[in-house]
Amino acid sequence: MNTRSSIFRKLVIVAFLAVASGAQASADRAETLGEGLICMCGCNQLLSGCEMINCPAAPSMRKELKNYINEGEDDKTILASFSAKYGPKVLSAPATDDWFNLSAWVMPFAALAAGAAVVIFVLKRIRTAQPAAGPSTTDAAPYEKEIEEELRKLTPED
Amino acid sequence: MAQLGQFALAIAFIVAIYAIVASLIGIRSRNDKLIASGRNAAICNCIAITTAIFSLGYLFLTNDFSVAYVAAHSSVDLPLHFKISSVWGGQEGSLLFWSWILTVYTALVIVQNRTKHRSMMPYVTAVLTATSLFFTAMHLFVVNPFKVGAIQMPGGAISLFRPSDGVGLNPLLQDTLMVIHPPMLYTGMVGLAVPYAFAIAALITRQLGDTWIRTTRRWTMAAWGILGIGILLGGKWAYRELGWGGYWAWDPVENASLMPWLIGTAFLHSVMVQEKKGMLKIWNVVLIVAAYTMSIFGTTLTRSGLVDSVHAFAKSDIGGYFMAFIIVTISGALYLILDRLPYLKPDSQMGSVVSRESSFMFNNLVLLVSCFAILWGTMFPVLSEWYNGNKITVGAPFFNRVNVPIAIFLLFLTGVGPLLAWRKASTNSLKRNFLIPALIALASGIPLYLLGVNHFYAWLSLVMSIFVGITIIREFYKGAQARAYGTGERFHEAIVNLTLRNTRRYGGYIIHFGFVLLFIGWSGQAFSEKIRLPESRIGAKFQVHQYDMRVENMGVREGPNYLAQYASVSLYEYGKKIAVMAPEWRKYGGRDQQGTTEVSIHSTLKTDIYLVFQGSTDGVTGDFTIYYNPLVMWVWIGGTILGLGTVIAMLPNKQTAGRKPQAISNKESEEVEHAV
Repeated sequence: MNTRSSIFRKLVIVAFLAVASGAQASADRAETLGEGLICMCGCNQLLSGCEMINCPAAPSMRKELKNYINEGEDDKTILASFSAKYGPKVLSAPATDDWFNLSAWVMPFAALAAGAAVVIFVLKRIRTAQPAAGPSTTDAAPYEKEIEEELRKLTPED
Repeated sequence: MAQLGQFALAIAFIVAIYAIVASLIGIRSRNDKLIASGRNAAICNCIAITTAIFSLGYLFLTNDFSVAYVAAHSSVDLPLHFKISSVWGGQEGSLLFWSWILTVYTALVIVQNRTKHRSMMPYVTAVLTATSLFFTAMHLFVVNPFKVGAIQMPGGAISLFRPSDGVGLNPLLQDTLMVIHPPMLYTGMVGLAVPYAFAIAALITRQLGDTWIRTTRRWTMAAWGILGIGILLGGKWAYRELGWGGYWAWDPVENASLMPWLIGTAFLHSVMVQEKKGMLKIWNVVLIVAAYTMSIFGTTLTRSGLVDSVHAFAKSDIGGYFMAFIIVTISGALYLILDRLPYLKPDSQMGSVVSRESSFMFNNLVLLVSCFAILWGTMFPVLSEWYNGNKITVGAPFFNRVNVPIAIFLLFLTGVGPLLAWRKASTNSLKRNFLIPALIALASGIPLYLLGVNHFYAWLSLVMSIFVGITIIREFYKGAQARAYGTGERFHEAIVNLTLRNTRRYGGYIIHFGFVLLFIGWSGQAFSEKIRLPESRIGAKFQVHQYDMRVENMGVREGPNYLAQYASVSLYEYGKKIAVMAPEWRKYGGRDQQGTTEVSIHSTLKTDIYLVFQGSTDGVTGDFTIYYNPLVMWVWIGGTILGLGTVIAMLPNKQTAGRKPQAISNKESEEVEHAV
């Protein structure tokens, strides 16, 4: 009897832990997915980050998200469902489904590559080119200092 | 008092026009009296704007709600220090505050240079005062802070309206950091106008050597440092006031302040190349024009309603005027740069790709790309709406993914750049400077991974921080050791004197060290955790890592202008009670419909326990959210060190000699030469 009840107790604990860890994983996934979505209350914050009290949008959106997770939908489908319902502005970052949205991701790195090419070109050019003999860029500051001193000498003291 | 403020603005408008005209005609006709008169008019402009801002302050302090701006941003029960900060708490007042700082800068620059740069100064005065004139025109004709309140009566007649109490200041702005954060931010952003004005004056007068750079170096450093601290204070405010557990959300307002700072950072580095080698003259002028323009553009971006922001600036029609001003600024600068190209040629050649010059160029590239990525992300919603009618959101995930790798590369350059020799770095010097730090950093990567740092970018950032930190500490150590040998000073004295005798170099290292600490703090974000605890009763217990928490009590208390529900939560670490946390949920009168959270934070060097209380309906049950935020305190420590380094870098070099000089061996003298 004792052995049977001990086995039963262990099974209950294992089942509880499995459910608890599943719930934790589901909550973690909801938080992670919540970072991919914007709260539609107008606060412009991530769904996972909107802590506005009595927020008119966040609780229902979180509930929706939880439902999708419980239904076993994958991340891509969940985000697509939100996008279909609320429009693309619900996604916290541009999707990569068309060339225009893709450009959001590509442009900074394209700029880095182009900039690096320009810097290397300029470095090579500066290394090989002799300093050009342009018009004098001598600043007037040292002469102006002398002029100031001369003016001071000319000005009668009180 | 409103009439006085209005009158002061009108006077400011007139004297600003006179200052510009007198300065320009004076320098063209070489009429010293006229130049001096223009100078004095610019100072009068400062006095007039000062009168206007103090008048506005007086209206707030005396609760004069006949003025619409005061009624919209203050209330009778608002505490005194928030009444003062209300002056810049809204659109009209913040623009007037901006104007005021600009005119104070102008007056200080004029006084500082009254007997210097005779040919450049009239143009500097004209450029700075022209900017001031634009803002004054905005105050007078578009966003007037002294406009009296009025309502439309039935039948269409307009009647003056003076409410018995104001709407109150936005509750989120009722934080002591909001008293100092905006002034710091504005002081930093507006400060970039000084080097910009000198650059334009240098272009006009064709004095494109390094005089304008040397003259404005401290102004630029001060503006850059203050802006940096202002940005961090904004982060600190967001962290403790907005209740979402973070300090940086990549909101357009935040981005607007970061972009000029990034360009300013590039400028501060590239001017060194011009000073030392006479190169990058065009680039430096372009950079300062871009930094200044970006500070104006940021203002436009966040106040015109062009982009959505969590920040609460009223949307108005100032956008068009600001864009026109920016176009004029850029066009004028561009024309001058193209016209003066022959005067902007480099004085010397680049020695090698592996040199300090080239590392500065890459540093500039990375900073500008980072700025571009932020600008691109901030503007992308506008572009997408224009392109296909869909306003695409670009939030924190985008900015983090794009900027984190760029920032880590920048951190790498922070360690490498300053230790490369000018012209060409030899293989031996590369080995001597980088081998040991690189080996230690790589070796430390293993224990970091074993300790649980398994997020790639956080790991890389920490490894890179160790690398850069060691290079900086070694520089101080080698320099102080050599100095101690040479002068007989004790080691700690040698460190202090070494720093004070070359403030620019060692101040720079301290700033870099501040960045290392900032990166350590930022790395911790990868390991933040959030736990929602809805409907937790008194006596409820929670656990986060080694911390246990117990809800002890809940209650209600009355503040000066709000009603707060509070919770009292005991915090235990490994079973030992270490703090009692007291988060609140506050409900302000007037404009506050939703209520706001006042978080409670227990900070240590290791981690922050950040507790949010979202109120209780029955006095015994409440909603809580706990954030476990590792390493956040290093962000604030890093910011403090950054500020300290900036101050040191601005100090003049100490000229005193050390005591008890000793004979130095050949090897040591080499070290001295290398270090100093």
